[in-house]
Amino acid sequence: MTTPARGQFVVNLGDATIYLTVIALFIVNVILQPRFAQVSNLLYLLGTTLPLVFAAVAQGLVMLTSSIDLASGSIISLTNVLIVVLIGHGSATAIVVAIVAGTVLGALAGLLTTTLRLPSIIVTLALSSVWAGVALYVLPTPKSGIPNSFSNLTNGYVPLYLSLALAVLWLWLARTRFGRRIYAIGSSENAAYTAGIPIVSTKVAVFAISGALLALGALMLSSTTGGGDPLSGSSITLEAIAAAVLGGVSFQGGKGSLIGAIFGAVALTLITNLVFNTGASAFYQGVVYGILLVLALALSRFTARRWIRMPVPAIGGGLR
Amino acid sequence: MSDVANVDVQPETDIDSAKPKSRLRMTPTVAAYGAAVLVGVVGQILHPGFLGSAHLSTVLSLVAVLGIVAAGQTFVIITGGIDLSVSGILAFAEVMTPYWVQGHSSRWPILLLIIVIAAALGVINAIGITVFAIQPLIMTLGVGAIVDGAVLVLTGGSSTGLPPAWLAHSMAHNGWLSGLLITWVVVSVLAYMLLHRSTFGRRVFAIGTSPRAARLAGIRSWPTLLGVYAFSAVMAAIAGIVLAGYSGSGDFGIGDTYLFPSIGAVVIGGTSILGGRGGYIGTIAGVLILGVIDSILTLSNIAAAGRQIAQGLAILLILILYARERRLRQ
Repeated sequence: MTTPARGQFVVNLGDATIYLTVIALFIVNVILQPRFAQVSNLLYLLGTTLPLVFAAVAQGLVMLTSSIDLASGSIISLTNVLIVVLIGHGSATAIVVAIVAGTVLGALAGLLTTTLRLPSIIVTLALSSVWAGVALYVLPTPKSGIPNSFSNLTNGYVPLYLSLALAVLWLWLARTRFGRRIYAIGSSENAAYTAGIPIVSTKVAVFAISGALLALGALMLSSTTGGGDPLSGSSITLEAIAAAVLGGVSFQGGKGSLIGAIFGAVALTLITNLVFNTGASAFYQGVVYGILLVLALALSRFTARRWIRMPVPAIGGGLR
Repeated sequence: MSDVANVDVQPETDIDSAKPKSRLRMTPTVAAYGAAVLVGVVGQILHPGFLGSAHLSTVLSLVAVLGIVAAGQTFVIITGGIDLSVSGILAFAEVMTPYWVQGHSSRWPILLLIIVIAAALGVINAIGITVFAIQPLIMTLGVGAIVDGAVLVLTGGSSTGLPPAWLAHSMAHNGWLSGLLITWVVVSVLAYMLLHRSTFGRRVFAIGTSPRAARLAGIRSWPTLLGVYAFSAVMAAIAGIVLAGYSGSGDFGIGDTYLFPSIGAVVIGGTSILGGRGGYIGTIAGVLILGVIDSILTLSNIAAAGRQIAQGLAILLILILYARERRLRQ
């Protein structure tokens, strides 16, 4: 990522491919099912996508530092069951405990990978097994009991506001010193270390924020499903990685935008919906999903003109 | 051998060992076998008879499937990649063997067909990774999803049929030697020769150590990666076939139970997840460690949740002992 000139405000939207993919998928969906484009339907779909949106942003954030979080699905499962188990003590308690738990679990992964110098892929692989086991202990079988008021989180225009809030939050964060450090570490950890960037605290913070986002994702999941399930997050880990990669966040780190990751999650839902709309057997879902995922990535090799830059009048003092 | 004759790749050499030995250092492989013996002794203490030949051979047979999958995974991880499609391919072979054979004993070419299809899937993985520069993790994830879905489409969602009688008979556990164990031994020898005693193996290490240096040394990476991913897919298919013979029926979700352990076994065995260092000998120790731990927990009547927690913590502990990376330097 080249540094914008002083005083210039640049919105990094990442790779162009994802936006073209989302538009193409949207058009195909509308052709197959004209009623697809109704606002209520789109909002409903966005509501069901929210858990994945949060998970994709959490994963993308970690990936920007050249790390990966294979425990993200298990953290969602665990915080999801914590919410349903603690809901008797009041909604606020349950939500606060879940978010604190997510943050701590994330920070722990960050501490293990930085202070013990273990590759994040393998630390989080081991942790995913641990958290999945703990989730099964907390709640062995699925249980309902999330109050109806929770569904307000994923109803109406709220999903749109939440997604926008997430996007704006990221655009702000990317402009802070912390955001620059994330990109610096992702580009070259050795160079960042030499330049005096605190590697440990930055990475631990990234993992902690990612954990908090996963807990929020679990909250959205509790809202859409109305209950807790110790296996609820198991498929989300790889979906979130797919969403982030589809959104142009590079595995090598230091490249991409979390706005892309949000759209990556949307693209995956559009693919799922596409299969559903053709009336094909649900068995074809995996086949089409896999083919489109690989196809989109193969095409991005040719279509990617690295960054879309939107020059906007400078606000405040510019970048430092 | 001609075009790599001048490449001095020393896969077994730990870069750190060149430094003065300030503290006790042992190679990851030695440490892995030490850990395997240690967990075995713990098992013997908790459950007398654990290390007896009867129980030990049962454990070996049970982990053989993981050992076969992990052989392919070892090759892939040494090149610096990862193969998430092994779960789908294993399930494909495990479900389609009884489905296509339907209990007939004469249909052994079906097994050959399954292996050929698996090899083709591995080639597709490699094409995506080399030609289209898709990250291995995401390419194999996509192919795995396609295979998982294809199995459901092909069978209409219900796994029926019986594996050929000879396969079921030879995989059954009789005495201390089983077909599972024999297959694993054959695979182990093959994997060892291929990885440590062939030009192909040297290229695998060279690519994993530094793709750039390998290219400059005249190694074209795509034929090697093609071989590596095809090998991994074929190993997963063989694991699925022998598992079908052992279990007697197909199970759509069976692959997932082997995916993460296959990666865990490779890494516990001292192969660097970053590529370039390791070997299959260590992976065997990793497979044994995971198998023995699982067996101890099963004998101790610990529920699935506790087994997952213990397995994760064990992997973490072993990694802390010897899989740490070097300190950041300028």
